[in-house]
Amino acid sequence: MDLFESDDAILRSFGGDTADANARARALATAVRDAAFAEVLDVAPAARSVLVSLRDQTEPSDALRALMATDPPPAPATGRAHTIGVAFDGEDLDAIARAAGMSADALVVAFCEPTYVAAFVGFSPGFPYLLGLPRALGLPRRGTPRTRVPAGSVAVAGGWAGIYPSETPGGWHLLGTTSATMFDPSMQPPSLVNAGDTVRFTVA
Amino acid sequence: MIVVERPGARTTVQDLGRAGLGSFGVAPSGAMDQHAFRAANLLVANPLDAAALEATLIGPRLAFERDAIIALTGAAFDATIDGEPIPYAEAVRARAGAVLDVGRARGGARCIIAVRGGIDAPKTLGSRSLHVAGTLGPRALRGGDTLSIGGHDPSAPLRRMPGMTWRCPDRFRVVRGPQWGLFDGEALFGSAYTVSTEADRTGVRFEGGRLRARTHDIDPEGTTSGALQVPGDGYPIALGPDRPITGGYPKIASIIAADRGLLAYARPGDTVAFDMVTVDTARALSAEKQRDLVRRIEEIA
Repeated sequence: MDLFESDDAILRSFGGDTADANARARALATAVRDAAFAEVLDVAPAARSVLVSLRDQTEPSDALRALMATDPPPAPATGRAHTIGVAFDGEDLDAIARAAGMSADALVVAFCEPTYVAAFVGFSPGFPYLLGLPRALGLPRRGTPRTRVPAGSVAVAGGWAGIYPSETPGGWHLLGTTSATMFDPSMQPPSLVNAGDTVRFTVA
Repeated sequence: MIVVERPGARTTVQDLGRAGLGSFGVAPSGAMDQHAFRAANLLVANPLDAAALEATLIGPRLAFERDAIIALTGAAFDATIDGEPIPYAEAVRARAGAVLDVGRARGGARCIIAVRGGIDAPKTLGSRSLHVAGTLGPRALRGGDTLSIGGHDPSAPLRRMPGMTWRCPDRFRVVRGPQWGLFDGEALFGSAYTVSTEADRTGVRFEGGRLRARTHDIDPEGTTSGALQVPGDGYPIALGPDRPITGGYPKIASIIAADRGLLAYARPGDTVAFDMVTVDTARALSAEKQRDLVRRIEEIA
């Protein structure tokens, strides 16, 4: 069991298939949040792990350690269901289609087919990591990241699909852009797509 | 009201940051050295989380419209009020019309400028801190900006911390990181590292003996402040308050809470080494540092 403790955080990781490991991580994150431990500052799931940050000058209680060591059943994706319109005009669309051995049109159809599960939000505010990308579109990150990726870029890398909420550097392959507001501090929650939500893409 | 006559190299409003928002991809931000930040607020008798200014390398020039109480902590800068040098780590009066010139850093890279009443900027997601990417919080200071100061009790005591300094240490203490087993961990302790030119609030990159891992590509995982992540080139990066809060590089070790704020003072060319401690020791050092802060504060008669 992969449980790691540093001076101000506890990290639990799950093995096996990414989707299953992520579903367990999301389940554990929910359980820790619901328990509302006094020493917990933040709980955040990632691909196959949960990071629990501790408040300044606190230690994990026995109850927190015990909960972090449990094996919760995988959480289903029962969050919000989003439909996100995409203008498929990304700089890398043609190159990805070629690499996948299909036409650009066929790539768009393939990309829009699945119902993606939002595994976690990371990298930058509101950036969702989505599971469910068709195998053929699985490519490693670009060798050289771009210094600037347009806000709203819909992109793929390493088997993930994602959306850049704002203009940042980025190493993923750009398929298109969405005008959806992915992050707004005045929204509640501030991130449009959150862990456990589902996403379908359509042609805008 | 404070008028920013000159903004300095990079001066931002910071407080203790916006914690608890990792699930939304939001970094904690806040003062890079929270110990120096808290000290500054204690010196001017502010609440600990009152917003202050964090200056980098060249500080701002600020004109005070009204009487104010200020204090500088963090690295020592060549600060003057109306041309006269002012004491460091000590509450100082700035009369109406006075000009505080924070000047150049003498040693470490950053300092904190606290004002009694706190900087009264709007909050975003519970904090007045700027995230370095500029997407959250008030933008970095520009010439001509005005800053509001919050209400305060003018009769509150003035304080100082004699002999207190903040600087980049020669040695950082670390605990093992989550991917310690992917590395020959002892390699981290074998040699000195040099702070590279890539040093900012997202992280400080070190150059020295390359750290090789079985893989430098892991499934994205939550990051913590002070974590030493190692990309494929083998050079470790100590993560800062504006870091991406998930990352796919293995983390060999993590600088302990008592030491990680001192990354704020690292300048390119500084040489450091790393020493391993246990988690229990790290926690004890953190508690002692907190007690020490309170012990050192004294009132100015």
